[in-house]
Amino acid sequence: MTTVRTCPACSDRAAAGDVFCEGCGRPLPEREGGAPAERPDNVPTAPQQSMSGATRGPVGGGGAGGGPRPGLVPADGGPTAPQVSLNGATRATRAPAPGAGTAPPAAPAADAPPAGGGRPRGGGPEADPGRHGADSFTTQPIRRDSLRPLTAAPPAPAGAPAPAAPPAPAPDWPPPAVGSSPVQSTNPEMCAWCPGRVGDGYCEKCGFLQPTGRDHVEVRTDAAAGVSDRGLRHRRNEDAMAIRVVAADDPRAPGTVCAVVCDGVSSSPRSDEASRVTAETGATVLAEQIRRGADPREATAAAMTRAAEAVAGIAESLDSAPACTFVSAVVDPAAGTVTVGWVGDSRAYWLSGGPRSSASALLTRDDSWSEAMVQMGALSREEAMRSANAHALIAWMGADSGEIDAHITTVTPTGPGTVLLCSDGLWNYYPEAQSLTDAVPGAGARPHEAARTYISLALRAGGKDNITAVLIPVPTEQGGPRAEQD
Amino acid sequence: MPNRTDRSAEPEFRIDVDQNRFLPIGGREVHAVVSVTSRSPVLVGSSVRASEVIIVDTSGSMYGEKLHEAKRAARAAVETLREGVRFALISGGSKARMAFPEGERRFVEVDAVTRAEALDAIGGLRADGGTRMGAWLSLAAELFATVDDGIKHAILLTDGRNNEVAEEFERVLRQVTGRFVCDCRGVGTDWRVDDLRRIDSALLGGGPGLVADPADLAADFRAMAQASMGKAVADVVLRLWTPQNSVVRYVKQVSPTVQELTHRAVARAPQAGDYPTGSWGTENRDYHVCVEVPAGDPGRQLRAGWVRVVLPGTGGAEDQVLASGNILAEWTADEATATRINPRVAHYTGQVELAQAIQDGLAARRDGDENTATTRLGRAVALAEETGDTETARLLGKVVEVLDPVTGAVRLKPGVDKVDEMTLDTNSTRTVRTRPGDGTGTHGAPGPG
Repeated sequence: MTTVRTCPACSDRAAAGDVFCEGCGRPLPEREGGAPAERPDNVPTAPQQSMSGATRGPVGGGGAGGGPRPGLVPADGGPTAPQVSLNGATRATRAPAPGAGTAPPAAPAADAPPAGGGRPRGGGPEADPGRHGADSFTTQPIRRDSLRPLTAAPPAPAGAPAPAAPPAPAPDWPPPAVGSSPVQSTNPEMCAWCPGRVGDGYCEKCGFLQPTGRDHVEVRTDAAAGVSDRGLRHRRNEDAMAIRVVAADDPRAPGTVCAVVCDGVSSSPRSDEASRVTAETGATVLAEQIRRGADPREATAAAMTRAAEAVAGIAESLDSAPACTFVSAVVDPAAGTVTVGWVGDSRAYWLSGGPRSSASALLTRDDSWSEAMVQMGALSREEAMRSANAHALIAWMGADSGEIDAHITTVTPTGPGTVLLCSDGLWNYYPEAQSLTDAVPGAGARPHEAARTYISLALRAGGKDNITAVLIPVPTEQGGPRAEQD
Repeated sequence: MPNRTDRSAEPEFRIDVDQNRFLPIGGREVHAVVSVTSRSPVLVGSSVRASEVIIVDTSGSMYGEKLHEAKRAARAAVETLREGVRFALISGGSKARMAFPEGERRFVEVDAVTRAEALDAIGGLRADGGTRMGAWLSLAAELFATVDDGIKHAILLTDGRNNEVAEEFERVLRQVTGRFVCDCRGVGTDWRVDDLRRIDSALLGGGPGLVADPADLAADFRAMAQASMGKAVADVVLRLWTPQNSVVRYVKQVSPTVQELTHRAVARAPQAGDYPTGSWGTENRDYHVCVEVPAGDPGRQLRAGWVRVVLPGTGGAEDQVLASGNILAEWTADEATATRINPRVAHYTGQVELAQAIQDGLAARRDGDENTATTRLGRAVALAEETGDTETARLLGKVVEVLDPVTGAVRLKPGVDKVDEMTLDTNSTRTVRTRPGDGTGTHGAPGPG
C-alpha cells in the first residue's frame, strides 16, 4: 500500500513513517493504522492451590499426658559432691602434682564460702589482695591494654593431624595421640554458615568471610558436634573444645563419646593457650583411659588431673599463670550413663528430647562467687547475678589455682535428649535448662546445626563473650540399652 | 603493576574498589565505586581484528557546508584507519545506503587501493531525503553480523532529529543493542540530544558529542577513529557476583560518562550478572555499584559483591577473568564509622544527580515550566560547586544567572544561545573523574570536539 502524505501546514510531501515535516518541522498527524497498542499479556492465571494451612498440624503443646517423666538418676552422690582433689601445682618451682586419680576426697570446699569472700580468684595465701581489682577475676570481657597477638597456631581442631611445628611451647604438647580416634573438623573448603563452597576466603553462596584460626571453629562427628565462636566483643577466642569418639569396634567401650569445653580466664595471660592445652589434654586422656577400660569416673578424674598439670605446666611463673575452666562429659552408650566433670563455671546440661525423656536439667554447679553466695543463702540468685562479682571464679585450672576440687557426677538419663557442654558465653543468655531446650527444639536430631544455632542465638543476644557449645545426642550413634527409642 | 612481558599481547586490567565497608547494625545497602583500568599493548597491523562503519547523515538538511565538512571528516576517519581493518561507509537518508563498497552489504579491508576508492566514494555523497537513524543502525548491525569477532565500532554523524516513530526507533535500538559500539556526533543545533543519548546508551558509546562548528568535524572524526584503533579487546563484561538473598540495586558507569547498566545484566554465571562494557583500549572507567544485602551479625564480614572483568569465552571456550575485586560489608555498632561516606561514592552520587538535574531543568525549560527549570538548574549549580565540576559550572553559567553557587540560587537567563543549551545537555553525562583511593577531583577525559 503506497500512501502519499503531505504536511497540513506547508503541503510539503512527507514520507510514510515520518513523524514531523522535513520542510517546516511541524509534527505530522498520526498515520492511520499506527502501531497497535500493546496488548497486555492476559493469559488467565491458573487457580493457585492454597498453600496455607495445608501442612501445619496442631502444634504439639498439650503434651501426651502419659506417666511421670523419668528423672535423672545420679549414679551416686549429688551432682556437686566434690569427688577428687586436684593439686594444681601451687608452687611454681615444683613439678606438677602427682596424678589425682587416687587422691583422697578433698575438703568440701565447693559447698563452703570461698576464703576471703569477695576476692575469688587468687584468694590463696600467696596472693596480694591489693594487686588485682575484683573485675580482673571475672571471665567477663576485660579490656586488656596489651592483648597478645594470636599465636600462629591453627585452631587445633580436635583430633586433626598435629601441626608440623606447634608454636605453643607446652612441655607435653602435643599430647601423645595414643590411638585416640581422630575427629574430622569441618571441611575448610565448605562455608562455616551455609552449604556453599569457599573460594578466596569467602563463601561463594552467602558471601561471608570464612573464619580463620580460632575465631570460629566447628567440630563435627557422627556422634557429637561442637561450635566455638569469638563472639562480638572479644578480639580473640579464648574458649576451646575437644571431642573424641571411641571407635565403634573398640572391644571395651565402643562408641563412647568424650568431650571437653574450656573457657580461658580472661584476666590471666595466654588464656587462649590455656584453654586449648587443657581441652586437648583432657579429651585425649579421657579417651585413652576409656579405651583402657577405665570407669568413666576414674577416667574423668585422671583426665582432669592431667589437664590441670598441663595448664600449670605452661605457666612462666605464679604471677603469670594461664588459667581456664574445665567441663567434660563421657557418654557411655553401653551403660547409658553420662559422666560429667568440671572446675569453674563452664556448664553441662541435659536437654530433654521429648515428653517421655528425663526433664531438662543443669548437671553442674558453678565454682563462682555468685553460686557460693546463693548456696550460703546470703543472696538470692537474682541478687547474686546482678553483682559485679557474679562471674568471679572461685576455682579454675592453672598454676596459681592452689589445690582445687574437681567435681564429678554421673547421671543416667532416659533419652532421647542431648548433653550440652557450654561456656558462659552461651548460658549467660540462657541460664535455665528448659530455656536452652526450648531455644533449639530437636537439638539431638541435628547436633551440628543445633550447635550453630546456639552460637547464633548468643551472637544475636549480644555475643559479649566467647561462645562454645558441644552437643552429644543421647542415645548416641551407638545407641544403648538404656536409651528408649522414641 | 605486575610485569607481564610474556603476555604482552593481552590487555591488562585492574580493579580498584573504593567504599566504606562498615554498615550500622541492621544496615543493608552497600555502595562502592569500582574503578577499572585497562592498559592495552600497542597493536600493529592486523594483530587485532577490527571493523569500522562510518555513518554519515546525507539528509537534505546537510546540503551545503555541513555536507562539505562531513565529507572532510569522513575522509579524515578513513585516512586514520589501520591497514587490514575492515571498513564500510553508510550514507544515511530516508533509507540507509551502502556508499562504500557501493551497493554491496559487506566489509572491505583497508589497503592503499580500497582507501583511495573510499575517498572517491565519499566525494560522491549527495544530500537528499530524511533522517532515519534506526534504518542506518539496522544496516550497520547487518554488516557487523557478517564478521564474527574483534572490535566492532561505528561512528554516526547527524545534523537533524530522527524522523522515525518512537516505537520503531526503540525497536531497532533493542535489536542492535550490544551488537557493536557506536559513538555519535551531532553537528549544528537542529538535532536532539535525546536521540543520540539513546543510541549512545544502547551501543555503549563514549557519550554523544556536539560539534558546533562543522569545521571541527575532521579533527573530531580522526580522534574517534584513532581511539577506535586503540581498542584492543571487545565485548568485555563486568561480572558482579552477589550473595544469596541480596539484590543489585544498580550498576552505573559513572566515569567518563554516566551510563545506566542496571537492566543490562545477563546471567551467565551462578549468582552473578554480566554487565556489558563494550571495547577497551588504554583507559579508566568507574562504576557505582549498589547492592542490598541481608543484614549480618556485628563483627561479621561479608563479600557483598565480587566484581570481575571477564572476557566471555565464545564457542565453548572458557571465560577469561582479567581482574577482580571485592565489595565488602561489615557491621559495626560504631555509628561514626558506619555512617562515614566514602568520598568517591559521594562524588559520583553528586555527579549522577548533577546530570539528572541538568536534564530535568533543561527539559522543563523547553516545556516552559520555569519553576521546575529554576529549581533543578539551581540544584545543578549547587552540585557542580560541591563536586568541584568547574566545566559544568561554566556551562551552567551560560543558561542561568548564578546568585549563590553554594545554595544554588539562580535566575533563568532569557535568550540563551541554542548551542550553549545543547552543549550543557550533551555534556551533562560527562563526569569529573576522581582517582581511586582519594576524593579529590581531577578533570577526566576532555569532551569531544
